[in-house]
Amino acid sequence: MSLALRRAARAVAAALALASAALVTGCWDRLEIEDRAAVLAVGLDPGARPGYVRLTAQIGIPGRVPLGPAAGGGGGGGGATTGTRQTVFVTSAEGATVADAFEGLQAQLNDQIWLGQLHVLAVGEALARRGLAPYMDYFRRSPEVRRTVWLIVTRDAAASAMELAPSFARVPALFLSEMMDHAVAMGRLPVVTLGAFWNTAAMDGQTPIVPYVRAEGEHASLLGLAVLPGQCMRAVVPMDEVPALLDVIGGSRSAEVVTIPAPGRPGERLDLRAVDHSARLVPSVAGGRPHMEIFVRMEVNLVQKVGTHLFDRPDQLLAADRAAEAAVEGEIGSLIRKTQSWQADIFGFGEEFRGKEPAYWHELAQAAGGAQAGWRDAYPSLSFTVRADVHIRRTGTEDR
Amino acid sequence: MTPAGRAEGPARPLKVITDVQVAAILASSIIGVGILTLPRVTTERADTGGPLATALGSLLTMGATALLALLGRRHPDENVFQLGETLFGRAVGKAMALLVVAFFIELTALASREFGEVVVTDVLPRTPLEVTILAMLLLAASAARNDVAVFGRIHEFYLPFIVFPALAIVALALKTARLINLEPFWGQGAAGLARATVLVAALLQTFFVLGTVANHTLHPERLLRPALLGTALAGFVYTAAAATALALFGRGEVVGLLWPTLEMAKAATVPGGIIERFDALFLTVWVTAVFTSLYSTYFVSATGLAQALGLREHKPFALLLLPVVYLLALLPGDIQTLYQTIFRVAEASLPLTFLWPGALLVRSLLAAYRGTDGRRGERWP
Repeated sequence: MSLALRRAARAVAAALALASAALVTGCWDRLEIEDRAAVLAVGLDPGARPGYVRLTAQIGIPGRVPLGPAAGGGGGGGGATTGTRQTVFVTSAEGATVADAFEGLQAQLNDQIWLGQLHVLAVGEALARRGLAPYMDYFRRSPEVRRTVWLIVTRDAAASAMELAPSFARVPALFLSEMMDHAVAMGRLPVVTLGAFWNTAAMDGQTPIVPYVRAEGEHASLLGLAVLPGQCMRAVVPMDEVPALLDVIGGSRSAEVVTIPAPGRPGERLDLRAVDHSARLVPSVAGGRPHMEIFVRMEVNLVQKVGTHLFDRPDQLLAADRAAEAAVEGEIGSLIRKTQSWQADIFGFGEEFRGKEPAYWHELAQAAGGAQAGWRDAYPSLSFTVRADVHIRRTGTEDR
Repeated sequence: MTPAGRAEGPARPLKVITDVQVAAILASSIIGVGILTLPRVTTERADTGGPLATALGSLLTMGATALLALLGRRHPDENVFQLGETLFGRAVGKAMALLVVAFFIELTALASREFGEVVVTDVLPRTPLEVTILAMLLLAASAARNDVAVFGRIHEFYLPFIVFPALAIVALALKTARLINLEPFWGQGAAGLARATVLVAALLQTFFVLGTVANHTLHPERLLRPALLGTALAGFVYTAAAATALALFGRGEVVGLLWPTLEMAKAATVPGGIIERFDALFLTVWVTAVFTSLYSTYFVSATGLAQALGLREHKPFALLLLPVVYLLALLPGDIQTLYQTIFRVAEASLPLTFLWPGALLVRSLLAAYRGTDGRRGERWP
C-alpha cells in the first residue's frame, strides 16, 4: 500500500474519530428527571362520548415522590405523612383511543409524559366488561412500560382509584402496587401483572385474571380476581376462593386458612394455615373426552381451635388431616365447577392438554376453527378428580 | 502495519492465537444481535419446538465449525481464502473469496442496522439512527485495523462480560417461567422444525471467522476441541435464551414481541430490588456482544478482500470498507424490510459458510488420497 494512501486513510480515520467524539455523547436524548412528568398510575374509564375512553393519570410531582425500591414500606423516613395531595397530581383527558387521550393529557402538562415509572394500570369495571383489547396496544408498544406493572379492575370508576388518598402511605399509586406485591409475597394472590395478563391473553388454553379492587377515598381493598375471557370481564372470583386457585396453579407460598369441623366433635372448629403447598396436574384423554387429575400437597399448622377437642396424640392429628383433605378437595372442586359455568379456564388446564395431549388439542382446534374457541366449548365438560394430601405439622405454642 | 507483519514471509503467518482465544473468538462472535429476535423467529417457524430447533441449529453449526477446524489442522499456514486458491485454483478461489466477502459485508451492515433499530426504539429515541450505526461501525472498523493478536485478545477479554450476564438474566427470568409452555418440545412437526433449524444455523454464521484465524493458532493440531467448545458455548447461550423466553411468555406472546429477549430482561427482577431496571444492564452487555460480532464479520470481510485482491495486509480495508457497509446499513426502508432482508441474506449465504469449507476439505482429502498434495503418508483427515 502506498504511503499517500495510508496517510489519506489515517486522515479520514482521525476526522471520523473526532466527529464521533462530538456526536456519540448522547446529547439528543438528554432529559433531566425534573423535566419528565412521571406517570405513576393510569386509570381508564368509558368516555362521555360513545366509544371514547377517559384517561385519568396520577403524576408524581418532581422532587416530592421517592421513586424506586427505596419507597417501599409505605413512605419510609420521617415526615412521611404530610398528606398525599402534595406528592401527586391527578388529571384526566378524553380521547377516541388511548394514544389520543395521552395527547390530550400532554396538552395539560408542562413536562413530557414518561411512563417508565408506571406502577398501576387501573381499568374501571364498566370498561373492563366491554373488553380491554382495544386499550392494550398503546402500552404494549411503548418501550417505557414495564411488564411488572399491575393491571387491576376497579369496582367503581378507575378515576376514583386515581384519587385514592391512603392516610398512611405517601404515594397512592405505590400503595396500590405494594398492596398487590405483598399479597403475592404472602401467598394471597397469584402473580397476575400486566405482563402475565398479556401472556395469558395470548394463550388458547387459559383465561386471564387480574386483581379486582375497590379503591375510593382513604380506603382500598382487594375484593378478588376479575375473570376476563377474551379480555372481556365476565365474573369475579371472591378473595376467599382464591386459595383454591393458588392450590392448583402452585406458586411458592400459600396463606390459605382451611377451616374444618373437629373430627367427631360436632360444633367444634379447627383453623389450619398452609405453610407450603405444591400441585401436580395429569391430563388425559379417554374416548375423546378430557380428564384432569389434580394432586395437591399441603403442609399446614394449627392456628386456632374452638372447642375441647384434644390434640396431644399423632392419631388425632392424622384424623384432622383427613378432614382437611376433604375440605380442600371440596373447595377446589367447587371453584372448578364455577369457572366451568363461566366457560373460563383460569387454571390453565387447557395449556396442560395443549402441551401433553397435542393430538387431542389439534383435533379440538380443527373441529372448532381455533384452539381457543375449541377449549372454551370443551372446558365445561372437562371431568376431573382432586386428591389432596394434607399434613398438620405443628400446633403452635399450645401442646393440646 | 506492524514491522513483524512486513517481515513475514507468505508461508509463515503470525502464530499468536491460544486455544482459549479460539473458543472465545467463536463464542463471542456468534453471540450477537440475533439473540434478541431468536426466540420469536424460531417459535414462528417451529412453534414450541423453537428451543429444540435452536439446539439442532447449534449442532449443525458445530459440524460446520469442525470442517473449518479440520481444514485448519491439515493446512496450518493458510486461511480459508488462501486455501480456496490452493485447492481450487486462483480464479475459483478468488471468486469464492469475493462472494464470501460480499455476504459478510452485507451481514455486517445488517447487524449494525439491527443494533441501531434497537437503540433508537428502546433506549435513545431522539438520537438519529445514522449516528448510532456510525458510532458502532467506527468502533468495529478501528478495531479491525489491528492484527490478529489483538483480535484474539479483545474477544478473550469480552467473553465473560457477554456470557455471565446473559446467563444471569436467564436464571432470573426462570423464576416466573412455566414449564408447560415448552411442551410439546418437538413443536408442530418436522417441517417447521427443519425450517427453524436452518434459520438458527443462518443466524450463527459468524463461526466462519474461524477460517481467518485458524492459520494464526499456536496449536493447529488440537484446533478441533476449542473450536467446538466455543461454538457449543454460543449454542448453549442461544438455546437457553430461546427456552427461557418461551417458558416465560408462552408461544402466543413470544411471537407478538419484536425482541423477546429484551422483554425478558425487562421482566426480570433482582431479588431485593437492588436493580429496578434490569434491561439497562442487559443492553450494556448486548452492546458488547454486538461489537464483538461486528468486529468479527468486519475482520472476515477485510481479510477476504485483501486475499482476493492479492494483498497480504487486511488493515487498509478496514476503513475503506466503512462507507460501503454504512450505506448498505442505511438501505432498508423500514423495520419489516430490514428483518426480511436479514433472514433472506443469512439463509442465502448458508451454502457459502457450510458447504464451501466442506468442499475444501473434500478436495484436500482427495488430493492427499491421490498423493497429489506432495505430503503422502500424512494421517487422515
